Amino acid sequence: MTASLIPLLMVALLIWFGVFAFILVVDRRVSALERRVEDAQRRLGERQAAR
Amino acid sequence: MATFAKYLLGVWVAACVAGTFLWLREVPTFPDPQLARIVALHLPNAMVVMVASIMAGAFGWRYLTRGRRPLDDARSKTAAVLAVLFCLLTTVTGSVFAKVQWGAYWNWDPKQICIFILLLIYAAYFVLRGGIEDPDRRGTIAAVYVLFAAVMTPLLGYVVPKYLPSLHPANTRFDAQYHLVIWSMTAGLLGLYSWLFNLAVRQERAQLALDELAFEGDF
Repeated sequence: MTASLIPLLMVALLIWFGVFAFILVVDRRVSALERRVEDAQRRLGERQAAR
Repeated sequence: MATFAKYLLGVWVAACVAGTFLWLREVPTFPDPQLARIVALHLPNAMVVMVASIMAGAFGWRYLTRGRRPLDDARSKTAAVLAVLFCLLTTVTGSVFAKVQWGAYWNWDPKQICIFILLLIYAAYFVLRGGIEDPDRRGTIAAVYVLFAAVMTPLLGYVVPKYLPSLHPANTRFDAQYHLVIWSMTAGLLGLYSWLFNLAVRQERAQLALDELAFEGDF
C-alpha cells in the first residue's frame, strides 16, 4: 500500500460518489415522471370508460 | 434496478477504485511504476464499449426485424450514447497512461487511431440522427448505420491493431491481483452501464407515452 496515493484515491472516490449521487437523483426524477404518466393514463382510461 | 442493487453497485465500484489505488502492486518496469494501476480503469471501460456497441447493433437489428418499434430505436440510441461515453473514458485513461509511458498524450498509435475512427463513426451516427426529421425514416437509417458501427467496434478495437506494429504492450500477462481488480471493475462498470441504460430507456418510454397522451389531449 502506498500512502502517497491516498489523496488521489480520495479525489477518485469523491468523483465517483458525485456521479453516483447525480444518477440517483436522475433515477428519482424519472420515477416521478413515470408516476405522472401512469396517473394521466389512468385518468384518460376513466374518461374513455365514462363516455 | 432495485434500490439495494443500486447502493451495492455504488459500494462495489468504490471498493474497486480503492483496490486499484491501495491494493494493486506497482510495476517496476514502467517509467512510473505506480501508473500501471490505470489499466484497472482503462481495460474495463474498453470492455463496456464493446458490450454497449454490440447492444446498440442488436437493438438496431431488432428495430429492423420486429415491427420498427420506436422503443427499440430508443434502446439502440441509448446504447450508442453509452458506448461513446465509455469510449471517451477509455481514451482519457489511455491518454494519461500514454503521457507517462510514451511521452505524449496522443502518439498516433494504431489503437489510438482506431479509437479515434470509432468516435468519428459514432459522431456521424448522431449527426445522421439529427439530420432526419421523420421518426420512422430516422429509425430505419440509424438502425442500419448502427449495425455497421457494431461490426466496426471489435474490428477497430481488437482485430486491426493486432496486425499493426503498436506501442501498446502485446501479450501482457497480468498477475492474479490485477485480474481480480480488472474483472471486478468490469462487473461494476457493466452494472453502471445497465443502470444508465435502463434509466434512459425508462425516460424515453415515459416520453413516448407523454407524446401519445398529448396527442389524445390529456396532457
